[in-house]
Amino acid sequence: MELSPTSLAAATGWSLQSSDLPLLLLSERGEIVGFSQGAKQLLSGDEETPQGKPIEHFFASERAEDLLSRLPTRPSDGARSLDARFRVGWGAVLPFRVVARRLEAEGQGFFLLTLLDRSLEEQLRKEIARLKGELNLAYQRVDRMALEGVSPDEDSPIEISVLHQISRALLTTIELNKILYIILTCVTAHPAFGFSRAFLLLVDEETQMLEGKMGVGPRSAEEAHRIWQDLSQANWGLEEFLAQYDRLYPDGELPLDSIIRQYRRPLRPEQDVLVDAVLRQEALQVEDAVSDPRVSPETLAILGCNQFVVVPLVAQNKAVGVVVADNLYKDRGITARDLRLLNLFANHGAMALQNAATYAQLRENINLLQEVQEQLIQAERLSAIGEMTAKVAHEIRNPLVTIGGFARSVLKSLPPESTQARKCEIIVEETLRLEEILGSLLDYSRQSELKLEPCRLEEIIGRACSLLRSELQENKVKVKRNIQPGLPSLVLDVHKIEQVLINLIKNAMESMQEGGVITLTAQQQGRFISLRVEDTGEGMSPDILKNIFNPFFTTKSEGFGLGLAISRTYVYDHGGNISVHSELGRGTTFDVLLPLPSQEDLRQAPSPEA
Amino acid sequence: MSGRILLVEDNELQRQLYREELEQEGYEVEIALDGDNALAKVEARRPDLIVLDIELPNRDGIETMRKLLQDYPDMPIILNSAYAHYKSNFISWGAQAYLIKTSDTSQLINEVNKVMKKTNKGGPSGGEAR
Repeated sequence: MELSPTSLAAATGWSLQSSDLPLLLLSERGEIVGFSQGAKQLLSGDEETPQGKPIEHFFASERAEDLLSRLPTRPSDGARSLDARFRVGWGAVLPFRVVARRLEAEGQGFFLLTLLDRSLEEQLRKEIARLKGELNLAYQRVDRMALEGVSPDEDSPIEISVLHQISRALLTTIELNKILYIILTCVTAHPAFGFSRAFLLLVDEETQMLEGKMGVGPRSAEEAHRIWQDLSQANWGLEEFLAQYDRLYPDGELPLDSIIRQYRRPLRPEQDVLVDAVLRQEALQVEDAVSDPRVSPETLAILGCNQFVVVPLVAQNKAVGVVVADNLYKDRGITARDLRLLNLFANHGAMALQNAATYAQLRENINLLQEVQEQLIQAERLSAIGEMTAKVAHEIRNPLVTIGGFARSVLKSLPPESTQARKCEIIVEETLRLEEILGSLLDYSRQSELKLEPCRLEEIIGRACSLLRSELQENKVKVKRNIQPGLPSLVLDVHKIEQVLINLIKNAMESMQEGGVITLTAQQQGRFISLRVEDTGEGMSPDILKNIFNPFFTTKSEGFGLGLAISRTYVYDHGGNISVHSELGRGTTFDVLLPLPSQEDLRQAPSPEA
Repeated sequence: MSGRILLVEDNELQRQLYREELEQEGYEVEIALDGDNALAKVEARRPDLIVLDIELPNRDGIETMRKLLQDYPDMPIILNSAYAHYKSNFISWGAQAYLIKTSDTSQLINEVNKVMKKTNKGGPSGGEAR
């Protein structure tokens, strides 16, 4: 079967295409065989489709083999995170954190890649909400099918209500073992079914074997008799009966489990009636197992029963296993009605199983997203701590300088070895000690490591504008770009400078409540490239202007007032400078100066991208 | 020691401290309170050396230094700031030295003496060429 987003959806119950997250599905050879809306928008813009293209088509630096060799090799490897650079739709080359996982469906392996960058935080939140919504819908769908799955003409109202009751029971849990138990218990214990024992076998996707998992029913005719009596006397409904599960089998081990676990066969034709039911996706009835050529001697030995039925569990056109039910302790034969009801029921069971798998997958995705989100929050928190520490250290250092400085100057005028001189010395020494503590505190709190790489300012500008496009449109703000052609390239931490630009553009946008124009001007000025962000907003008073680079200073109702403080730190880290001019009622201009790279910078930075 | 120093510092107490120390060393000290003020003072009477704070009102120290070096490329400037982290970054702007403010004022005095000596504008031996 060909691998496609549809088959992924079939395999995982989760639609790749509709996701806003940039998700790519790769074949083992590295071809894009599926993509989300988010990935298409990111990589190809609106016109082209990435479908069928080799992943290297979008690579900026490494060859496809390099990335492919770093991908997880088994589904059990879980998610692996790698760094890679992609050429995106608007021409820029961007570093991404790629979260890769190996999936297997239809007997083929493929890779699901999630491309993450910082602007995704909001998207991640939305995605989590969407996944949760989808899950709810899936449950409602199962519930509805339970009601509609049986045509009133064919089945008595009692049977419809039985199915509905069972469906409800199945919806109470997403725990795989409980679902399996519910399936089997319903088949054997419910008065609507005429079976004594039921076994469940599931297909192992990885090994392509059909394996026995669970068995429910009495171990002997006597036990069967007792159970029926208990049931009729207690007049238990299904729910009460199911509630006994935890009490009866506290270790989760069922009496007949050991019988069916002996069964293990490859999914190949001509094997056995149980395997056939999976392959043909068809219910099969065995009237006389001893003489039936479809029943292998091993199967006969395991089941020890001459009459039974095998019903496949089919969800989304795929058989995930079978239910085998027999009438060992009943004195009547298996009727067509029994079989039909079991078949209908098996569909619901299969869907519950599928849901459990989907849920597990969603859960894993959500966990992954939450993990990423946590990391983002943590990073933000760290920079807040860093900014605050730097500011506090600066504020403390200033008075220390005066205290210690004057003490030192007093000390010079005092007779050496006098009591006053000794006291003064203490002030001098203690102040120096405090200064040292400040120094180490700063070293500890600030991690100003730059990931320097050659880059072009035009690209950073282009990317920042793209990221903010919808916000700018919403606020009726136009951006005019005025970039000197042929600007020399810079060696920068692209992410940090991009963040600076985003902060400045956002700031400008927020000062223009009625909309307006932001002019971005970039040009070379001697040893620097200057980047000017100019708005036509309300401007700032000198009082506000004085404080805007201070951390935690803000005039807005939202945010922490860190944007400009961090921006200045980032620019300073680059040996650049940022300054501001503003006039009330006329607008504000930020000027950022970034130094052109020295020969040494160029030597040390990684070579420019192809 | 001789030579004229422009001290650009907005903190009043520090101004007083540095001024006293520099004058004791024999220098003539002029004061500017902010960046714009510093530019005006330099234009009116060119000093031999500028001791420049970074966090200043009306044009910060870095911006002031850039402007100064545009007009007076050989002007010796010592940055003296309570920001402890940007030392290597700002040397490349053309400052002779970057000092992290400390109560040990002898560090500033030593640096000033060194620069004055190097630029042949004064110093202990009255101008020894290098």
